[in-house]
Amino acid sequence: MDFIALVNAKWSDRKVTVEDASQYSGERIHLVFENGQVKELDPPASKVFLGGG
Amino acid sequence: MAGAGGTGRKILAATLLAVAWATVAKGAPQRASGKQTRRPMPGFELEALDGSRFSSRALAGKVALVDLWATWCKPCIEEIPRWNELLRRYEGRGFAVLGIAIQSGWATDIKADIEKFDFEINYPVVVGNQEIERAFGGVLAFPTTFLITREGKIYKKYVGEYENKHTEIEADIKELLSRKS
Amino acid sequence: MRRQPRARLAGLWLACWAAASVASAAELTPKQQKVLDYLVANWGQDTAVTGIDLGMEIVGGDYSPDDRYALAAYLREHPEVHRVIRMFGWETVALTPDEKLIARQLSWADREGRPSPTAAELARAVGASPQAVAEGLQMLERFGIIRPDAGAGGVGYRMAKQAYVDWEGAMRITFMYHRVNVHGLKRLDTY
Repeated sequence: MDFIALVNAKWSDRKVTVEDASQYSGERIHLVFENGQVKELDPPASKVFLGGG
Repeated sequence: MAGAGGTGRKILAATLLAVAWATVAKGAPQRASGKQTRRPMPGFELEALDGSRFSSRALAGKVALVDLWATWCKPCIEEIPRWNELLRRYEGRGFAVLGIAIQSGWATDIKADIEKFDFEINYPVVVGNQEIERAFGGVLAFPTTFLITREGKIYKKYVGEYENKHTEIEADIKELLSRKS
Repeated sequence: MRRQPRARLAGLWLACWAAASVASAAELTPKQQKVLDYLVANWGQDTAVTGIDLGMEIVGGDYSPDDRYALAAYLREHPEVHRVIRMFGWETVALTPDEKLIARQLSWADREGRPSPTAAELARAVGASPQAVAEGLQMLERFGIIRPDAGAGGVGYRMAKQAYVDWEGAMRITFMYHRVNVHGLKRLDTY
């Protein structure tokens, strides 16, 4: 279970901020979720994989 | 700069955040079958869950399925009953299965996880490490499974989940078992 | 002749000092223990692999890089402390996000046979100040993750072990981080 599952379930009623970095370029990524949805994404061209297993 | 990683890495249009990195490679049309190789399987000796040592020599002369998995990888766990079934069907013809658990902690950790499964694992499970991953050519995603010929060559590598994967694997096992050694 | 006893004493003093340094790396102060207690209680919950630096921030108080080093050294010596260490490695909780990004850049350069990036290139790539890069390199070297190599070019470092060159794969998170703030609830690093 990864934290995206938590964002969608356990933390779905909360604002969740994620500081991360691209696996490919190392560029920093800033992500904000609200109600389980992506509200902010910087850089905007980032792609967020929401799959899981 | 090379760091922002050189041409290959500076993906301006799509900086990928692999937020679900701890998951498996989902099936994709371009990876609809296992990849054939003819490399020898690396020799190894790894710790079994009972603390004994398991040597790759135990697989000599057999068609073997070597499954690199992790105890937290859900699709890996879901495949285990399939490996159990293949073993049941083909063990008598010289087929073996080995599970190499990697990124899963010590033998005691792995045992504790396995005890929570709804089923038994009817084949040996050993504790893997980064060296064995490297020896097998690297593990990019889970599950990664190798089919080994009786002569000890890596026949195919199957990565992730994809349509008809297990049909393909069983067909390959039967093909290898039918060959004279 | 009179020099010999002094030389021996000096040698003995140095040996004792060295032994004390090694011993102290294996033990934690009460202040450091507080951070470890927090981390151990939280690791594994909600996929937490919270780093020592974040742990120190959450516990609060005046913590230094030396405290982080001591905690990391302890965890390296004591993987029995928690399964998170056994599964993901002491490095991923020892390093800060900046250090992880620096390590990645160096690892890639090493793997691809490229010169090591310069300090300015690292600062740009990692999005950190030159001072942060300098401090990060110092800490990475202290941890034994990178080693000086005059032939590397750039900042003059290569990865200290092959395992750090090809660390990626098998969903390894050695030099990765997801630093999560669940507003009003908790902060953690996750896997």
